[in-house]
Amino acid sequence: MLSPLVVDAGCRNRMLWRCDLAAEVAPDALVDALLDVTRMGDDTFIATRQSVGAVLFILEHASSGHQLVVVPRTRRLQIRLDGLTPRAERALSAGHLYGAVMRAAEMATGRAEAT
Amino acid sequence: MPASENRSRIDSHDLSFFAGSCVVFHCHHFNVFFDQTIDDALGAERGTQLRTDAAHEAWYLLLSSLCTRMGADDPGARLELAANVFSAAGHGRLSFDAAASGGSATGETLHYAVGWQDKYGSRIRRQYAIDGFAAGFAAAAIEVARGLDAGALVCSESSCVATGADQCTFTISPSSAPFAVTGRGVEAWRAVLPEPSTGLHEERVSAITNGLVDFLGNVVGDDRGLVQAFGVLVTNHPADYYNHLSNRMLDITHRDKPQTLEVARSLLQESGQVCGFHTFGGILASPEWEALVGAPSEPLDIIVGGLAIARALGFGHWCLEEYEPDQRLVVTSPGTYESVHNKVVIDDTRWPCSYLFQGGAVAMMQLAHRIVWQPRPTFSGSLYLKLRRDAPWACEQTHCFARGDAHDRVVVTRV
Repeated sequence: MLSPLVVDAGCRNRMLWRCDLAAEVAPDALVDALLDVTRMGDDTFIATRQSVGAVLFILEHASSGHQLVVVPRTRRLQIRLDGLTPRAERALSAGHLYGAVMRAAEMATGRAEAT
Repeated sequence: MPASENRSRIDSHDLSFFAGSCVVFHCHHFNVFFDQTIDDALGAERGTQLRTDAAHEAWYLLLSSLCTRMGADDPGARLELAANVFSAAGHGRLSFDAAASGGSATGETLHYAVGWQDKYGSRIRRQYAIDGFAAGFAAAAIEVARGLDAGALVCSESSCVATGADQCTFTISPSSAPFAVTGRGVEAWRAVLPEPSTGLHEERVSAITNGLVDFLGNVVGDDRGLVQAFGVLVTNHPADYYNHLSNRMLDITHRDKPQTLEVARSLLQESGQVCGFHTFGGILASPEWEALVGAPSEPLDIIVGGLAIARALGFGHWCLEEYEPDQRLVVTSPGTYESVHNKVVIDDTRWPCSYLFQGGAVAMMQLAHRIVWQPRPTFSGSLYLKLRRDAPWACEQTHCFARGDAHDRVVVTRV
């Protein structure tokens, strides 16, 4: 569903994390799942004004403020931690979001049930 | 600044204005480095005072115009408007308990304190307060709200998160040192602008610029007054802040320590290089760029992208005159936010003054030829220092609009 989570290019220490979406998961379906509170529960995301049509999705994790950026054309996903996340918590926070995105990806392909 | 009828842009010169004042986007790497440059040149106490004064003057001009335009005529409405502009522009949140005779202010998640902590906080313990910018804003906001002259109040930071305090607090007091606001609004800028120009790959640069400008229109502060975009903390500053600081720091240095003048000028250029390396680099590597433009695959993509980024951020209409890969880059601009300011305010500067332009051009060559972009680059502080030390570039500003030339022009060559 997703490639392993790695630290992404950036100039701030472990604030940006990257993974890539497998070919079997449609980006639109992933985004739909992430935005669906009935399926994602506490890990629901909300769309932001910075999204650009179907070209670029910038979603915000409702309960933490962390962001997920989705580039449908290249299938790149970027977890962008909130700017005030303490250094010691960054890997853990990214890992939590990665788990939520993995769950949404499974839902998007019909392999998992809603929470 | 919030999107509104108070925002305008001179597209032909890629200069942006809010309530008549020129404004530019910058990131915390540049902001913190630039302020540190001022303090390094003048010392902590004098540097802090200069930074506070520069912000005070720049914000007084902007807020006075804004309140007039918005028809805000009672102190409460004016102060609320000012605080909202401050947070929407990414500077954090300020709350006030002050009258015409002074009082106090409290800051939360202030950009400079948060940015400094993020950049240096894990390695260095800061010894003095950092938020001169917010202090100057606070004084200006109370003055404008209460209908006072510029300089009727003075503000200083009493405690600062960057030094380990729980919150940033400010003391505002009466002052007997009124000052004249030297900055000028958009009409004065428009009156001196030279003819627009174009460069190589103009169509491509313009198309990318237009997309970025649209995108940046949706970038505003969150509930905490922080703007996060492209993986950095972003602000929209009155350009006068940077311009007052550069000019006054160099004037003082020239007068008091002339032997250090060239060092001071090179540090201002390096501030621009820091901006280019981190901000341009971060944007070029971002998923936004990948989606809207396409990941850079060759050095020319970096050069073209850098020009477009500079234009979109409001630095000026950077144009490519000449590019020899890994050897030489020549960039021109029909004025920059630095040179047009100086043309309007000073008319004849002593030195070529587009330091951000100089450093940004160097950074473009660094990014194009010294960064490994595949599979993915990194933009760490240690890499920046390594490249600066091991693979330097020479940069000369051959033309300066503020000194009577038709445009600004910088030449970057391999050392």
